[in-house]
Amino acid sequence: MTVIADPSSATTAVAIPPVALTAAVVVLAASLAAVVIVTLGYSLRADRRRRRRTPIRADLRSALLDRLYGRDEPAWDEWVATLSTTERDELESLLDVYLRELRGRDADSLAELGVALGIDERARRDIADGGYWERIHALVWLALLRDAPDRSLLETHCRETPRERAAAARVLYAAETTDLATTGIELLLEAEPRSFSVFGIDTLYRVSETDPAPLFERAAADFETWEPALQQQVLLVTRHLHTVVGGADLSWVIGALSNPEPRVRSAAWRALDAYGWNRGLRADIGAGSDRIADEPAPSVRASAYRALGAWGDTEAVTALRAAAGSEPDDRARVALARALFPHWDPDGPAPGRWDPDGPAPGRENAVGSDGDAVDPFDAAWRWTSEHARFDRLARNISGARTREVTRR
Amino acid sequence: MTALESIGTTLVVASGVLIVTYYLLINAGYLLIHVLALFELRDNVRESEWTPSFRAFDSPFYPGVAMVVPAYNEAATIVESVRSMLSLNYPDQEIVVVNDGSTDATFARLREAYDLELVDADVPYDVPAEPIRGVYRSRTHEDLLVVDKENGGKSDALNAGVWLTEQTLFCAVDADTVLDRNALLQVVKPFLEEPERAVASGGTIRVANNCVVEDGEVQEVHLPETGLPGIQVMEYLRAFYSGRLGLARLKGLILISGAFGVFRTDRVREIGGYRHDTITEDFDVVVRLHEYLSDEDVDYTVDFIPEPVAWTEVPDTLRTLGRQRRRWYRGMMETVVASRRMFFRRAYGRVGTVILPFFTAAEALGPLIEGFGYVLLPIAWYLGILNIEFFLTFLLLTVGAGIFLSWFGVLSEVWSYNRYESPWDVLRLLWYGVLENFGYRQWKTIVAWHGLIEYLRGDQSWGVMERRGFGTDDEAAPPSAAPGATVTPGATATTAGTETARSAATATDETAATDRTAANSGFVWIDWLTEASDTDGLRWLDRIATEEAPGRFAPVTDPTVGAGDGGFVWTRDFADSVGDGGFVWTTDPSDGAGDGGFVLAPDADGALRLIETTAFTDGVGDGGFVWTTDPTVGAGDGGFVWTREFADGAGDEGLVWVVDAFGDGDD
Amino acid sequence: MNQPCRRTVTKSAVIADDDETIRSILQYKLSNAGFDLTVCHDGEAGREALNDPDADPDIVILDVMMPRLKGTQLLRTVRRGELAVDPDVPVIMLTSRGTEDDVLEGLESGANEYLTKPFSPNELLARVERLIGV
Repeated sequence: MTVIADPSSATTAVAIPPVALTAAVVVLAASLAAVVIVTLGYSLRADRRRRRRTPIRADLRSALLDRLYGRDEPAWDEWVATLSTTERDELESLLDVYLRELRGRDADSLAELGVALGIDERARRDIADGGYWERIHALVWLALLRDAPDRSLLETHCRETPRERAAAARVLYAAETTDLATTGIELLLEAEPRSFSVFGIDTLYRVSETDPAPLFERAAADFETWEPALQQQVLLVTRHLHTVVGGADLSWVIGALSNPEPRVRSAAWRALDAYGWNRGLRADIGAGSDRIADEPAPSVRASAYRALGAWGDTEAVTALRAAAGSEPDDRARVALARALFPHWDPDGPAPGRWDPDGPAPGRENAVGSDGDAVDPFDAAWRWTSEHARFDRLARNISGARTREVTRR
Repeated sequence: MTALESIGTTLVVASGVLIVTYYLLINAGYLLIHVLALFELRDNVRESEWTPSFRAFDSPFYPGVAMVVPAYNEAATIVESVRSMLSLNYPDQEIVVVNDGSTDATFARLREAYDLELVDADVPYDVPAEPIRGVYRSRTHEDLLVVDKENGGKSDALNAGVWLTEQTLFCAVDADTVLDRNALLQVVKPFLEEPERAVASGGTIRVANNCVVEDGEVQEVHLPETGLPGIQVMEYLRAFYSGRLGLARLKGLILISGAFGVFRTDRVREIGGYRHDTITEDFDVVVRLHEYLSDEDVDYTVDFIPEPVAWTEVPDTLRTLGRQRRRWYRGMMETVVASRRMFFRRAYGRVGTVILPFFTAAEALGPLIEGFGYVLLPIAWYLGILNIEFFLTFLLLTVGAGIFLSWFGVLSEVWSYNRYESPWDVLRLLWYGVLENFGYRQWKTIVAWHGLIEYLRGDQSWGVMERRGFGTDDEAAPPSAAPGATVTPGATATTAGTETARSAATATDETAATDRTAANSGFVWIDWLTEASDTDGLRWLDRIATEEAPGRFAPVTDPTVGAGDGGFVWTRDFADSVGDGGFVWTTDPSDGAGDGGFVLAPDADGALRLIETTAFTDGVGDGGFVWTTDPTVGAGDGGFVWTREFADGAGDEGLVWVVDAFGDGDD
Repeated sequence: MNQPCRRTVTKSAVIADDDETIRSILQYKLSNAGFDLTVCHDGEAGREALNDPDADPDIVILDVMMPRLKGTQLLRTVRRGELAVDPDVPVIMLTSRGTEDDVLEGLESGANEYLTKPFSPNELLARVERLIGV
């Protein structure tokens, strides 16, 4: 593009070389044409595919259910042999849906359909030879078919990314293999990931449910070396394993109560709330009140209150009441009130200064006996009790829909 | 050629060169983003196809989400909207509806439909929002919470919701959006994959005009019949499928739509929640998140998921659309200016070094420059320096490239999720892509310039308007002020709400003393107004009662001179007005509908202001104006009605509201 | 909460689930076992079916996550006696919501049985028959 500025001439022009311009126009026209063709092409193809597949799917669905429920022997192999490629493809998609909903004998029967369609073999091939996406799709299929391949296959090919490892562990879980806990934990934790995805944590949980020993052993050994995010997640899983923990070593959980990261401490308290029955643990934790009072982070204190509330014995409740008067943070106070609420004894001394028969706190310009404003704990208490009332109301299935006024 | 002419010519030529170069660069940038978007889309489709056998509903580790729904005057749609949200497919969900001081029956409808009851306790923590009148829970649906508070605008309502929930995540959603049933499950995916790093995630917004919506769900997807919404479909497709995806790929996603976005509650609280003095609070909050998290050196990610869709109605008239776009433009300018310290700073990653500057250049300055270019063309032609090649180049770069990019957006959609299934619809979309660049685009440059002027004028009226309503149909709000004492008994700006279909329910609000004489009439006392297009003046008069900008009533013969397109006339016949009532002056505040009215009262600094009150002793004189349908109620046998026809009243003049600094009204 | 032993041959059931797959499975399984079925696509349809004065199902199978009216809500309305159907009709909840809280909530709302998906249709049938008292 050249600019010709000639003061003496009557015209000044910005001359753009026509060649460049023509080339640009041609390029643009070609690109536009290309885009239109590709777009319409895709649209038409998708539309045609949909029209074709919908009736096929409906037929396959009824045939599938007929064979599954209407006969003694579904005879999958002979059926599959009669189907075209498109039909098999559609059937696979249908199978995927049904396998996710069923368990038991029917699921086993459907798994045989999967074998008849050759999915199990294809999956193994994909794991051995395929790329990332093929592998993880294959792993999902194997989990659905509840068919665990050779461990060597998994160990060689499925260790690169956290997702693959979690998917592999999931396969073992679905197939209910004997080495689920050991191999599973190894797959998941061996590479010491920085943190898990939700799929990963869930898998870790399911895997450990059958036998928590491998997890706890590894945790006891390696916990300190893990990243805080991972520490928090493993603690979260521990919380849900309380029924199967048996006599495993949980000292690392107690240790986590003093971890430098507040969220790890918080997770540790949350993990412990289901372990109130464990006298040994309780003794190790100690009375708790000092720990809590010295805790700088309000979110951690809130978790501690929840744990005490979940424990619910006299010692814990006393500790809660003691903290009621002095908790400075608003949200932690509400957590405290919530923890205390189920244990409130209407005949005993009321928490804070609130007298249930007296004027409701926070609703008037109530002034405390020493001239201060209303005790903030009363506000938290009232808020909690109101919400509990509503929860009960919504769940009320007795005939009369009268308004509940009593607190208990 | 004179020296002046030659200078002029050189200037024009130089500008032309600049404009063309500018457009070359901008379009190159857009093209890059679009191409990257395709890659991101492919990854995204692959991701969404991978569904592990892990069950969300079974897992105790799935994050909980609170839907925060700010609602202002949504009586017609709020119940259905909440119902649709209640039936979203998600394991752990709660819904917080924030009634932002609605003046219609929004709250009453909610209360009745969901059997709400007051939570008899104060909120035990500090909530940075306008005072909360009450928190309500449903007796039948335990996951519904309704917050009734004083009006404070959308940001304020969002903040109230954010502070009152205890869920890890919250989803900001507009009251009139319809979500796909699985949308929530899909949009939280980034939080599932990387629970540590993900802080925000947004979905796609699509146009619901002409779609079949039943039971709170879009049952059938269709393209709108008319051109303007159709062009917007095109626009949204391009913005989401190319724009946002591309930005996400570049790790520079600065926009998450406020109509459908999920955020980490704790992070948003850390930055102080949504800001009040912005118009586009969604854009602002994401940019501030970027700024804060970069400052704190936190490893984070902001994602966009194309699959989940929130459907919303778009304006179908140029007028309402123009207003919406000017508002967006002003909001964008504000946020860009407020975040200027991030520009070109490496500390803020790509967002600072590349994205924000490009975005400003393309979206804020781009339309301005293009508009300038359109003006330049005839000048150049007049000066005889316009040659066909330059003109073609200009067209190529604006219209041609524009069509290409629009069609690219359609391609992305068809190739991935393909919600418009009929190839015929796709063809129409492509056609809209052409239309978008012939006429619509040019019109948008005018809107941009208009928006810029409004922004530079520091037009706070929009900000004020937002405090009362944040729908897309807001009429222009002229700045309001205390009336001057030019007219005796003071043209009290009382307002009446003429009924429209939506406000039929206004009358049921328990605290409004409504006048139900006629099927379509309904008055609510001044501070509950309906958003009705034909009650311009009545509505803006409400602003007069509460706002700060100076203005006064002036007698004129031309109704369009003042703010709004009408004014007040005195008449004995109230049927002549827009609506069926008017204002009479009286000493007894309960004479009219409602139990109060308006008086002129001197302010602390002596200025006379219009205030609504139930005690007429507050004002000048011993009476005030009340609204009524009966002209004989007040002293005298007539009163003031609002109308667009000044002939309607006695005499041929009327009173319009003029604002001191700006002689002409704004619209 | 068991119905007295019925002498009639035909047993009837009301099913409500928004998932086509589940509906198809239940339809096949239960009709093969001799049930007359009323199949509903969502909560509201279920409510109407249960509010029909002629309806007298022996068993009701509900999903929780349904559009328009959730299973737990529907169940509570039944137990409160607000619908035409017998408030004590045996109800099985069949749902993906399997966390502890969900199970407790389901049982509190009055479900006789709470089955989570993936489920075994044979087990379901066994539980149905036990509840009906056959």
